Amino acid sequence: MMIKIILCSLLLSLSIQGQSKSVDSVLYKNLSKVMKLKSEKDIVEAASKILAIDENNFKAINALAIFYYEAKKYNMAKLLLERGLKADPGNKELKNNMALVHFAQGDRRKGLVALKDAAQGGKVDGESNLNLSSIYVEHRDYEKALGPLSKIYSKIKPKLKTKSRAAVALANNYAVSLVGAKDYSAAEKVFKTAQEAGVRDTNLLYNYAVFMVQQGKNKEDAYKVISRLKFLTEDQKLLRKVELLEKTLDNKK
Amino acid sequence: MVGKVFKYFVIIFCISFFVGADAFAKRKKTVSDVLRKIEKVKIKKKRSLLPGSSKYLAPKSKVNLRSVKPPSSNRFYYDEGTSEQELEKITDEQINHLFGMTQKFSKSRRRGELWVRLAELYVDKAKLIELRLQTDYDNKLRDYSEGKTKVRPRLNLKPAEEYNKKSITLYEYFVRDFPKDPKMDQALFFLGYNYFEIGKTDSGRKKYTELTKRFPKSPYVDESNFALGEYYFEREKWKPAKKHYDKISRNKRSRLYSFALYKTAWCKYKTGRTKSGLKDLERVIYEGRKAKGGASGGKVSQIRLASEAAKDIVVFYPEVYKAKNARSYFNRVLGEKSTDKMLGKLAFYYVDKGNKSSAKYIFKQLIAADPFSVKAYEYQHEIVKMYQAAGNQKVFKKELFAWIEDYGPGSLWRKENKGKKTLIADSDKLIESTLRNYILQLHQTAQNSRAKYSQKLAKDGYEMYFSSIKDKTHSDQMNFFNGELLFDMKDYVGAAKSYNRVVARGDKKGKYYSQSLLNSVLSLEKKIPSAAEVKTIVGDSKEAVPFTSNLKSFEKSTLRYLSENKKDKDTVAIRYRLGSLYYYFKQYKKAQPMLMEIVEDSPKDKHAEYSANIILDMYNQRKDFKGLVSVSDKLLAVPGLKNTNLASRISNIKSESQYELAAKSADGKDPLKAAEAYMEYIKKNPNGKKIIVSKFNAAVSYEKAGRMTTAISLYNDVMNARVKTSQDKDLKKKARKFLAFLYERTGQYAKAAGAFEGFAKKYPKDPDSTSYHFNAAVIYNALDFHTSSIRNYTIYQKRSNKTDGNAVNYAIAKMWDRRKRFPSKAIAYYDKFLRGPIPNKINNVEAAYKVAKIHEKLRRKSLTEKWYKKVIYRQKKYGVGASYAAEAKFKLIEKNDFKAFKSVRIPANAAKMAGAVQKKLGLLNKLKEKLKSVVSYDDAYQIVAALTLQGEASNHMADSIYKAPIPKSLKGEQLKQYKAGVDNLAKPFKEQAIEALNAAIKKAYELQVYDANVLKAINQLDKIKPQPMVNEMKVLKSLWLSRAGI
Repeated sequence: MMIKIILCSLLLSLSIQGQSKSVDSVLYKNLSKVMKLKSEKDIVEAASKILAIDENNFKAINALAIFYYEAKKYNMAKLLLERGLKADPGNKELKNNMALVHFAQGDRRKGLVALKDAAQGGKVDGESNLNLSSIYVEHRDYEKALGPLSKIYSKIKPKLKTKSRAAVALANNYAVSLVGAKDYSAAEKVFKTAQEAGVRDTNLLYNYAVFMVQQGKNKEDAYKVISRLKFLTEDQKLLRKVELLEKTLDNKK
Repeated sequence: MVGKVFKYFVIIFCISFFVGADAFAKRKKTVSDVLRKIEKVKIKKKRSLLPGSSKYLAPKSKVNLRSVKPPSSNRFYYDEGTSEQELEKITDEQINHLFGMTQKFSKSRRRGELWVRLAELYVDKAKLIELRLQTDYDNKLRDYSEGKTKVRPRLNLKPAEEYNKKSITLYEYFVRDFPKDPKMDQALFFLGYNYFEIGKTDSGRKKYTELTKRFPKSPYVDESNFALGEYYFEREKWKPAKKHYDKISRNKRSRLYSFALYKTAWCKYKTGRTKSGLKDLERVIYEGRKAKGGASGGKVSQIRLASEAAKDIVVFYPEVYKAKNARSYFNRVLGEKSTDKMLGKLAFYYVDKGNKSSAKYIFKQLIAADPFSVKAYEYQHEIVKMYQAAGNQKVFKKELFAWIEDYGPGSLWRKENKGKKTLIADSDKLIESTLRNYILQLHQTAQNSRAKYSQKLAKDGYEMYFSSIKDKTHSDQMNFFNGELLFDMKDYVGAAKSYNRVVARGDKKGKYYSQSLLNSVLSLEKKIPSAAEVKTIVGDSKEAVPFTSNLKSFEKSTLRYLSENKKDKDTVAIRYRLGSLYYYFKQYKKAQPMLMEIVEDSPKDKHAEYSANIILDMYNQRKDFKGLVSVSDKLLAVPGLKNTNLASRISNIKSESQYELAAKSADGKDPLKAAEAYMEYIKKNPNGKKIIVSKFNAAVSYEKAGRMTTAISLYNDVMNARVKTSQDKDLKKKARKFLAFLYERTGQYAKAAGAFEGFAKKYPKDPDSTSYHFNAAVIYNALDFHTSSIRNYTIYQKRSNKTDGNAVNYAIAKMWDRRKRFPSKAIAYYDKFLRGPIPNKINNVEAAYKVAKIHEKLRRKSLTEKWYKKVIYRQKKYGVGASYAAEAKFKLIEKNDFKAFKSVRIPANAAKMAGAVQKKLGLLNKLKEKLKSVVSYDDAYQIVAALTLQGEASNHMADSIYKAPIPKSLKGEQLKQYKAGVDNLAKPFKEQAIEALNAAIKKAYELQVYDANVLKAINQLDKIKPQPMVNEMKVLKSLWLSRAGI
C-alpha cells in the first residue's frame, strides 16, 4: 500500500516523461560542487534543477541518495535508489549503492544479493566489484576474490600513484588474497608496486611488513618497510605489533 | 480544439464564453445558444388612421318634418325680387319728409293724418329692420349650426321695436285727438299690430278686439284676424290660429284670402288634417296661377305664396298619397313642366324623411325618364348616398356598383356625355371618392370590429377599387390602407405587395411612401421563419444557405428601406434583423458589414450589443479565434464603445479568444509550444479571466515538456492566486495536488511531503486526502522526520480500514525500532500490529522476529526465547519466513543447548570425570541433533551458522577433554598413558571440529554467505590450525559508493 501510492506518482511521471532529456553540463557541475558542501538544501536544489528537466536522471537521483546515505538517512537513500532503479532497472551504480544501504540497515542478505547483481556484467573496475572482492577477501574466499581482483588491479594500478583509497584498498586486498592463495611472488610484486607508488596506507604497509618478515628474502627491505611504518603510524596498537614484527625480523637468521 | 469552446455572455451572456483547459475545460454555452434568445425586431407597426374616418357620420336618422313650419308671413309682403335695401332707403326718405311735416304742422287740424301717415311709415320701417335683422340672425344661426362661428347668435329686434314704439305714440295721439276720425279703425289696427311687435300682446289683442267690435266692416278686420292668427300660429296654437284664419278665408275677395288659406293648410297639417290641408294648398296654388294670369301687380304676393305652397306640397303629399302616384298628381296640380322638378324635390324629401324605398322609386323613375341626363347620374348618386347613410350595405353595394357601372368609365352615359369634360371629370372624381370613402368606411368598421366578415368586405372593396378606378390620384392612399388591412388580416405577403406598389410609384414626398417602405419590411418580417424553422432549413450546414423566397423579398425590401433611411430610428433594428438573418443562414460575408455598421453607427443602441455578439460568434462558430481577436480589436476601436460594458465584454472575449488560440496551440503535440502559447496569453492578459486556467495549462504543458521548474512556479502562482470561480478553485486545488507530485518528481521530498500534507489538510474531504497523508508519512519517515511522519500516519490510520490502519502500526514500529532509543515503543507497536488484522503473512513472522531481536539486545532472556518461539510458531503456522524461523531456532539452540553443553565441566575427580564426559557428550549429540532442525529450514545463512556452531561445540568438547584436570596421583607411565588416553578421546572431537568448520566455510563460499558466522568459523579454524601470515594481515573492508560522474 505504502509503496503503491508513491510508485503511482512515479509511474505517472514515467509515462509522461518518456525518454530522457539533455541536461546542461553546468547543472551537473553545480551539483558536483554542492555535493562537497554537504548542505541538504543546496544539494536538493541543484538536483531538483536536473530532475525538473529529466526526472529520471540517475546522476541527480544517485547524488541525492549518496547525500542521504552519508547523512545516515538510509530510508530516504533507499527511496531514491528504488526510484532510480525503477527508471533504469539495470543500473549497476544504483544497485551497488542500494547494496550499501542494505548493509547499513543490517540487511546483509539483501546487500549481498544487490552487490552481486551490481557486479554481474558490470565494469570490472566498478565499485561493486571492488566491494564484492573486498568481502570475499575479508571472508578469505580467495578463489572468488582473485579473479576480479587481478582484473581490477591491472586497471587501477596506475591510480596507486594518486593514492586513491580505492586503489590502495584493492591493491592491499589483492596482495592479501595472493598470500592466502600462497602465490607469494605475485603478492610481493603487488606490495612492492604499492610501496614504489608511494602508498602511505599503514594497513597495506603493515601487511607488507608481515609478508617481508615471513616470506621476504631481503631483511634490509623488510626493515625499510618497518621503518617507514613506524614513522607513519600513530596507532599505538599497530606500533606495538610493528615492534613485535621487528623483533621477529631481528631474530630471523 | 478539444473540449474548449467559447462560452460567453452568459455571460455575460453571462456571455462567459470559453473555458479551456486541457483536462478541465468543459463545453458550456455558446454564443449561438445565447443568441437563440435574440428578440425579433421590435418596431411596432404604426396603426394609421383611416383618412376622413371622422367624416363618416352615423346613418342619417329620419327628419321630423312635421316640425317644419312655413316661412314667416312677412316674407310674403314683398314681391319676389324686391330689394329690401331700396325699400328701406325710400322709407327713410319718406319718414324724414313726413316727420318734418309733423313738426311743421303740429298745431294743424290735419296733423292727425300726418301722424297716421308717419306712423304707417314707422311700421314699414320697423318691418324692414326686423326683416333685415331676422335675415342676419338666420344667417348667423346657420353659421353657428355649421360650426363656422362659436358664438350662438341672439336676435335683438330692439332697433325695429323703436319704430314700432314711435308708431304707437303717433297712433295713440291720433286715437286721443281724433276719436271720430274715419281712420280710427286703421289706427286701432296698427296699435294692435305695434303692441304685438313690441311684445305687449295683451294691449295688442285688446286693440284688435276693439277694432273688430267697433268696426266689424272695416278692411282692417281681416288684417286684425290675420294678425291674431299669426299671433297664435307663432305660438303653435293651431286651433285658435285657424279660427282667425278661417274668418279671412271665408271671404275669397279678402286681400289676405290666399295667405289665410295657406296658413290654414298648415294649421290642418299640424293638427293631422293633412289631406284637407293639401287641398288648401292646391287652392293657394290655383289662386296664385290665377293671379299670375291676371294683370294686377298687387297679386304678386299671391304668386309668390303659390310658389311657396307648391314647394310645401312636397311636405304634405307623402302623408296623403303614395310615391307611385306622385307623377300624375304633380302633373295635375302643378303641370307637366314642373313635375320632374317637384318629383326631384319629393324624392329628396323622401330621402330626408328616411323613406328610402319611395325616394329610390322616384329617383329611379326620374332616371328612367332621362337616363343620360346629368341629373340621372346625380340621382343614382343620391340613392347610393342614401343607402350608404342608412347602413344598408347590401342595397348600398348594389346601387354603388350600379352607379359605377352605369356612369363610370366605359358606360353609355359616359359616351353620351363625353363632350362634358368637366362633368365627366367630376363624376369620375365623385365615383372614386365615393367608392374610396365607402371602402375606407368598411375598413374603419373592420378596424373597429376586427370581425373577419368586415375585413373581407373591406378587402373586396379594395379589390373593386383597384379594378375599376384607373385614376391614380389616390392609389397610394388606397394601396397603403389595403396593405394595412391585409396586414391586420395577417396576409403579410399581400400587404407587402400593396405597400410595395406605393413604394414603386416612387412619390417619396407623398404621405404614404415612407410608411409603406417601412411597413413592407415589417410585413415581410412576419414571414420570417422562426428560430426552429431556421434551424430546420439551415441544419448543420457550415456553408452559406440561400434565403427562401419570402426571405429574399424581405431582404430586398429591407435593403431598399435601409438605402433610404440611413439614420432613421427604426433603421438599427431593421438592419439588425437582416444582419441576424444573414448570420442564421451562415451568410457571414453579408452579415458582418451590416452588423458592424450598427455597432459603428449606433454603439449605444442595444442592437449594437447584439450585433457585436453575433459578429463575434460568427468567428467563434468557425473557430477562427485569430479572426475573433482581430474583429474584437476592430470593435473596440469604435469610439462610441469606449468605457462601456459592451467594450468590457468584448475585451473579455478578445482575452478569451487569445486564450483559445493558446489552447488551440496546445492541441499540438509539442507541449513546449503549448506552454509558450499560454504564456503569451498570460503576458497579453495579465488580468484576463483565463489567467488562472492559462497558468495552470501552461504549467501542465511545461510539465509535459520537461520544464518542471517553470511548471512548479506556475502551479505555485495558481495555488496562491485569489480565485472566485468554482473552476479556478478547482484548478487551485489541482495545482496544489500536482505541486506535491512535482516536488516529489524533482527530488524535493521535504517540500513534497509538506505539499501532500498541506493538500490533505486543506481538502480533507477529497478522496485522495487520506492517501496524501500516507504519502507525507512515508516521505517524512524516509527523511527521519519522525514526529511529522507519525502525525500523518495517525490521520491515515484513522481514516483507513482496519487492515491498512494496522499496517501503519508496523511502519511506526519499524520507525521506533530504527531509532533504537525507544525499544519499548517499537515493541508496543509491533505488538499492536500483531494483535490486529495482518496484511500479509511474512510481516507477521517478521514482526515477531523483530520483537525477539529487541528483547535479545536488551538481554531479556525469557522474553527473547518467548518471541523466538513465536517466530517458529508463526512460521510453521503461515508457511513463510523460513529464514526468520531458522535463525530463531538457531538462537534458541545456541542460548540453551549450546550453553548447557558448555556449562558442563569435567572435574578433576577421576570418579566423576567419566560421568561428566558422558554427560557432555550426550549434550553434544543432542546439540548436533537439534542443529539438524535448523538445517532443515534450508536457509543458507543458518546452515553455515549451524555448521559453525557444531564445529565450535566439537572443538569445545575436545578442549574440555584436553583441559580436564590431571589426577594428582598419576605419575610417570601412568601419566603418559593417561595423556595418550585423553588424546585418543579428544582428538576425534578436534577432527570433527575442523571438519565442521571447514564444512561451514565451504558451504558459505558455495552459498555465497559472507557473514559473522563464516568469520567465526574461520577464527575457530585459525585457532585449531593457525595460518600466522594471513591471520596477521589486515583486509581493507571499506565499501565504496558509486558516485557515477558526481
